[in-house]
Amino acid sequence: MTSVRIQALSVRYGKSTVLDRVDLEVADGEFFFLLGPSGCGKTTLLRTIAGFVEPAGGDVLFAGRSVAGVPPERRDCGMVFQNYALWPHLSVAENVAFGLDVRRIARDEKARRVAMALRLVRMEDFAARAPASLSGGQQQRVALARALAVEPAVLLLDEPLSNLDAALRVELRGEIREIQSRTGRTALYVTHDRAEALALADRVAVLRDGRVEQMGAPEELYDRPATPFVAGFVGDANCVAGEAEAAPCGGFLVRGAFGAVAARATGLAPAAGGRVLLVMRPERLRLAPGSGGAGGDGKLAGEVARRTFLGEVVQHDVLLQGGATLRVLSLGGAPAFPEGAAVTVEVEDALVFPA
Amino acid sequence: MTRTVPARLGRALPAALLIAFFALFLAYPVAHVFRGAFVVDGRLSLAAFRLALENQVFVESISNSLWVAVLVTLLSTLVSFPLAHLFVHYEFRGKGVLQGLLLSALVLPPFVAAIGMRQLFARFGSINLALLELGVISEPIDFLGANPLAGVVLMETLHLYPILFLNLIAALAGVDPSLDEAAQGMGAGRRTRFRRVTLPLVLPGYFAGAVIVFIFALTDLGTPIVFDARNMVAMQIFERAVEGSRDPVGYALVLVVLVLSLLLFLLGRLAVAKKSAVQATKGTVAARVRRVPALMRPLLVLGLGLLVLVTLLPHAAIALVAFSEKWFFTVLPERFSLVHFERVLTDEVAFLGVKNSLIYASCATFLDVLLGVAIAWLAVRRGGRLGAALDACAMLPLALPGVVLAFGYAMCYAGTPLGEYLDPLRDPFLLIVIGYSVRRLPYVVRSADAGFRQVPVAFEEAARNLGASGATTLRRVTLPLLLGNLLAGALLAFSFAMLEVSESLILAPSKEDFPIAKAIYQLLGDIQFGAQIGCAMGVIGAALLLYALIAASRLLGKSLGELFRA
Repeated sequence: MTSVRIQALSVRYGKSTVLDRVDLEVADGEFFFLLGPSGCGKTTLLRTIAGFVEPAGGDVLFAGRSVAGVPPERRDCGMVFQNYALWPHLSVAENVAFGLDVRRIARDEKARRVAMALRLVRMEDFAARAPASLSGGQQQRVALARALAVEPAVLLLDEPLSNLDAALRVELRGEIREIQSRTGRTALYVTHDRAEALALADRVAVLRDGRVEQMGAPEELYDRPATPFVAGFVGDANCVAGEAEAAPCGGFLVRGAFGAVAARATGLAPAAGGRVLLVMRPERLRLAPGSGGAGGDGKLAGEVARRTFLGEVVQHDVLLQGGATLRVLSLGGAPAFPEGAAVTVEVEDALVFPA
Repeated sequence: MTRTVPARLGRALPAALLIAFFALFLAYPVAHVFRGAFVVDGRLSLAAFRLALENQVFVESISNSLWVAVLVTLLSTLVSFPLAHLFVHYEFRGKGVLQGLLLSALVLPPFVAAIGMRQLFARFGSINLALLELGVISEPIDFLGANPLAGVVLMETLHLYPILFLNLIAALAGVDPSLDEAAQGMGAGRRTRFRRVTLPLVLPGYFAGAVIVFIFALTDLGTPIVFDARNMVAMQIFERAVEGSRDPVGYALVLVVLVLSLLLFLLGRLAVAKKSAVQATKGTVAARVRRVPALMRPLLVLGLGLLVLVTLLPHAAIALVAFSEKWFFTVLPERFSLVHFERVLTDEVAFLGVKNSLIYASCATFLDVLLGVAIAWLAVRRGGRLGAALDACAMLPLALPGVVLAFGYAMCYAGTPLGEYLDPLRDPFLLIVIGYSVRRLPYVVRSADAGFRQVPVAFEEAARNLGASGATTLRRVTLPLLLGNLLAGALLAFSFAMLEVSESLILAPSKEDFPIAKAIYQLLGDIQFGAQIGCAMGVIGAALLLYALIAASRLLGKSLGELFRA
């Protein structure tokens, strides 16, 4: 079991800086997620940990020991590739056995561990098959078994589910979580899918432009985002510009053409009287009929511009005074409003960031 | 970052060895030719070129060879353009069979085909005898003696037009039909569309093929030697090389041919570079295929029938010669038998030729695979300028005519410390093997290159990640996945080496070292059934090449056209 520490790690391709002095600490046995949009450097970070990319500066430490200069084959981290990278000329069992062959594991022990790894991913019936004859989800399971069979110190997963359809993604991510907690292995998981990260992670690092924007447990990132970017990346967010004034108990009151809303600052505190960004989660807004209730206490008057039925929830796009539009999500069964109806938006929770 | 010493060596060593190989066996012979042409009596001078210009035979040879090359390219173009248009845009019965028949021209080296044609067109060959019997003529016509160049042009056209045809098919099929439709939508007529849309898109592919055809026709040695067309550049170079003449005038001639070929090749490469930009728009829609209008059908059958007949005439001729027990002064052989195939095994020259060629070609192929994998790996996986430069070196032999390289090889190592191993007069083995492998290297590098591009880097990374060293990864993952491609490249290299002409004729002076081509050449002049035994060897060689081409295109899963271009 191994902890992973990233210290001031920088990676450059030619002149462009892909990773800029990244610091991370992944605890022993932790399921750690690297979340970010494409091009943020998350895959590069994973590949640097695996030893495929040479950093321009900084260090990677496994269990407190630097692995600088250690070639990939001696790092002992099992990687699951985005496109599976199952060798087409080997059978499923041969793919899984490869790492054990290389380690010169005795035949009986090898057979036992291959069988165990395949059982873990529920692919034991496919041992003799060729990878090409498997579905995407099955290939992904084999790729996972192959990485786990060598009992690596660290498990690295590079967008393992991104080539699968939505239903399969949800099914497989449950299995991965299950397998990770059962094996108790330190695992780093790269994804751009916030649902995967929020559902599976012990902790998440949100990356943006080669830097760590925020690090923390999923709930913390969702409830207490440090920047509007994190707020928008880990969940849906309505962003409206306004002006802040200090309110009691460390809170703020944000005023704009839409009215006034009480908000809490989870990142940098805005200066009183400064331009700010007001961030509201669509599910933390409530709709009430008529605009009469609007006032200075988080009740905003508006008009339903569009209503969209989404199944378990209904989305209302509400046009506020001053031109801003808020997306409001209500669970099915809550009152629905026709387009053009005058409504009051009750803000249950709002965040404020300096603009 | 620290890397272990062996790891660093493992990275640098292949590149260093490859650079040394190309320096020794590509750059040095070429430099030797330059020096031989420009350094006269120890001084830099253009005297050799002046003397060459005053030499009637040389001037005539260059002019003859250029004419032959121009005519061959022109004729091949005239045949292959309509043919490719027909094949890509029209559907008709027997298309596949027809394409196979036309492409079979590729498997018969003109050197061998010419022997068969000589039998048909000689003073007392089948054609003359048939015409005499029918009473069309009263005196035999001297087809070959009157103008040997005509025979050369015909033979080379028949051999080379399929290369152009394949390139044009690939180019035409690669044109996105929606581009044509877009022009149609804007009201452009059929002719305007061809001139303004199709032609510009097809031309780069055409040039890539035409350059190969032109260089081949310009420098082919096998055909002129059989038709005894002495005043052609390849023949002149051949004679100088065999004499071991160090006359600077000869070097000047070699240099002219070399520079001409290189320039043309570069032109071809430029055309292809442009093509890849064009092909970025490659269509997803298949070309529209029409039926041939009923009125045109008889014309089509007639034209194609004639073409097939002429294309297969040399094949028929060598088969007739090879299977004829005796054939003197009759239109067709009197009796057929396999006796000449038996003689291939019993005749000393023939048997040694086959045996030697098998050894040379096997060694050359092995060397090609080693070099090809290393170069393709450096070019595809390492990238960078070094990889690109090595790749370019490996492709250069396409522009380096066999006679030029063989001339350089025959001359440049004798008298140097390497002469002991690399002088044809002492021991031609290494020279022939290296010569064969250098000239066939492009096929192996191309197919290995394609292989590496098909194997995702992630396959190799996954192996490294699971603990495999670089060598283990290569052995257990990369090479098995490259196998099909390597096999295809090796097959092509092997069979072309088996039937190679210029280096074989120049670099093997004594009988016990003769490869097939030189054995056939020797047999032709020597003994009673020489032509028959030679043709029997030709039939065997052609069958081998046919098999190799089919197998290679299957293994590579791509059209044959892509194997023959600059």
